[in-house]
Amino acid sequence: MIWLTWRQHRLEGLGTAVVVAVVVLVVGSLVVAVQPLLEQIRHACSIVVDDSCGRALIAFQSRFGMFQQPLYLAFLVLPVLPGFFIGAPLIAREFEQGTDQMVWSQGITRRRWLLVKLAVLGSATAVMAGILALAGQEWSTSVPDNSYSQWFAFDVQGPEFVAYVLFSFALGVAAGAAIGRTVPAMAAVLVGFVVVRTAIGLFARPNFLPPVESELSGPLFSGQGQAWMMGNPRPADLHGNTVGTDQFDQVTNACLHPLGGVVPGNFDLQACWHEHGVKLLQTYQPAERFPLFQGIETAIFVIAAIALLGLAAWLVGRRA
Amino acid sequence: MSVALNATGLGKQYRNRWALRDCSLRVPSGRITGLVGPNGAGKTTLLRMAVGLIKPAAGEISVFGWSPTGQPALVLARVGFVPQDRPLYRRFTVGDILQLGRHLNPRWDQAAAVARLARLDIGLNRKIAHLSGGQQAQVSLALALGKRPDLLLLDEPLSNLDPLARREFMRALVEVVAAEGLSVILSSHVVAELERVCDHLVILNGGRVQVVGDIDELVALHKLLIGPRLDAAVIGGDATVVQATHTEHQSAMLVKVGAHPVGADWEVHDVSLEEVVLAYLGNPAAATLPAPVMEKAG
Repeated sequence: MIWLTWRQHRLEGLGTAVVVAVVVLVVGSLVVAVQPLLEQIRHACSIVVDDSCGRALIAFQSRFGMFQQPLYLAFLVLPVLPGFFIGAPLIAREFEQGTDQMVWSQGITRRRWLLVKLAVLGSATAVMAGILALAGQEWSTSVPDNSYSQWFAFDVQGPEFVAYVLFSFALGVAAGAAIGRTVPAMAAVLVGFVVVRTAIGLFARPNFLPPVESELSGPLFSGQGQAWMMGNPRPADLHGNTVGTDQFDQVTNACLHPLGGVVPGNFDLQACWHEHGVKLLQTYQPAERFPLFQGIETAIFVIAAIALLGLAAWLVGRRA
Repeated sequence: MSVALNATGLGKQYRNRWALRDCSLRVPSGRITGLVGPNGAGKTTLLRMAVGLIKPAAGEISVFGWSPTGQPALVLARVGFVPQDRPLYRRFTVGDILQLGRHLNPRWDQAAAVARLARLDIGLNRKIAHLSGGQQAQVSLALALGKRPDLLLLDEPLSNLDPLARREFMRALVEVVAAEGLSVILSSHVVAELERVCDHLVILNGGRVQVVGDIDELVALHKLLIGPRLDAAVIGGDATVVQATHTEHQSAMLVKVGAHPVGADWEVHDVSLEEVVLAYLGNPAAATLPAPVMEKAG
C-alpha cells in the first residue's frame, strides 16, 4: 500500500520538493545576503539613535525591502497548495475515474487503504511544511529589530504554519470525499481555507486571551516592546475613565509649550500628564503570550484537520 | 449444491428508485453464471454488493458464507472483481498494475499474471493509456485473476469492445475457468455473448430476480407454440404463458411447459436462450420461475 501511495503521488511529491527547495534557496540566500548590513545596523543603532543608524536602516529597506512583501504573500499562499493538489484529488479522482471500484476490491479493506494514504501523504506534507516554517522563521528574524514584530510574522512560521498545511490537506481530502469531483473540491479548498484562516486570524486570534490594557511606559511612548498593539491609545484620567481628546490635547500642549518646539530626549511627558491628571492607555497582547498564542492557533488547526480526516474516513466508509 | 453467492431479500434504493428490491438468489459455485437484464435492472448494484462496495439497505448477501461488508478482509481476498468500464490507473504501466495487485493481495500469483499477459503480447512496460480497449480489458482480467479468486465477478466486461477483443476476452476467461475451476458471475445485457460461455443464468429485471436456472434446462423447458388465434387460457395442459403475440389468424405463445402436454392444435417449436430471455424481459410481471429450478440437488 505504501508502494501504491508512492507510485500514485510521486509527481506531487516531486513538485512539492521542488517548491520547498526553491523557497529554501531563496530565503537562504537572502538571509546570507542581509547579514553584513544587519550587523552594521545592530552596531549603529545599539549606541545612539543617530544618523548612521537611520542611514543603515534606509539602506536595508532600499536593498531588501522589496522582498519582504512577496515573501510574506508566498508564505500565506503556500499552505493552500497541499490541499489543492494533494488533498482534493486524493479521493475525488478515484471516484471520477471509477478506480475506487478497482482499488477497493483488491485484497485490502478501504479503511486500510485510506489510513495508509493519509498517514504517508500527511506526514510527508507535514515534514515539508516544517522545513518551510523554519525558512519563514529564519527570514522573519533576519530583519532589523526595530522594524520587526514577532506578531507580524505569526502566520508565516512556527508550528502554526505546519498546522495550516495539515488543515489544508485535510480540507482537500474531506471536500474530495464529500463532493466526489476534483475541480469543485479544489475550489472548496480555496474558499474554505481563506475563510477559516481569515476568520481565525482576524476575529479569534486577538481574543485567544482577553487583551491587557495599561499605560504606555517610558519616556515619550517607546511602545510595549514586542507586544501586539490593538487599536489606538485611549486618553483617560488617573482612575481610567475615558477623557475627551480635546482635553487631552490641551494637556499635551500645555506640557510641550514651555519647551518651545525642542523636545529633549529625556523629557518625561508621562510625568507631566500625570501632574495634569491624565494618562494614555493602550490595549495589547503582551509579548510573552506569543508562544501560547502559537500553541492555541496550532491546536485549533490540528484539531480541525483531524476532524476533517475523520469526516473523510466516515464518508468513505459510508459509501459501502 | 455448494453456493458461491447467496442473497435474500436484498434491497437498495437510490433517491426514489429501487435498484434492487426484495432480490433473492443463490449462485452455485464452480459454474459460469450469466447475469442478464436491461440497463438499470440492478446487475451492477448486485455485483458491487457481492464485493462490499455497496451495503444492502435491506436483506443479506453472503459470499462463501461471509458478509462482504461485515468481513471485508475475508471476502476481498477471495473475490476478484472487474468493475464496469474496467477502470485502471491510466498513468500506470502494465507492470505497475501487476505491482499494485502484488502489494494489495495476500494470495497474488505474479508469475501467472505475467505469463498471461505475455501470451497476449502485452508488454509490462507499456502505459495503460496507450493500450487498446481490448488490451485494457485483458489487464483488468489479469489483475482480477492474479489474486487467485474463488469467485470472479465481471460487470459488463465486453462493453465497448470490438468483436475480436470480445472473443479473445471470452477465450481467456474460459481457459482459466477450465484450468482452475473457479466460479464466475458475468453480467451483460447481450444474451448471445453469454450463451457461449455460461451454463447458469440469472435474469434480473426491475431490481428483482425473474428467472434462475441452468441454461440447458431453461432452453428445454420453454417452447414456442403456434396455432390458431386463441386466448392464453385455452392452451391445455399446465404450461405457463410467458409471452403471447397475436396476429389476425394466429397466436404465438412462448410458454414454460408443464408436466402435461399441450393441446394438439399447437405446433411446438424449440426456442433459443435469447428468445426465452427476451420473452421474460418483455413481461416483467409475467412469470418468475419457481424455486425447484434453483433448488437442484447436489
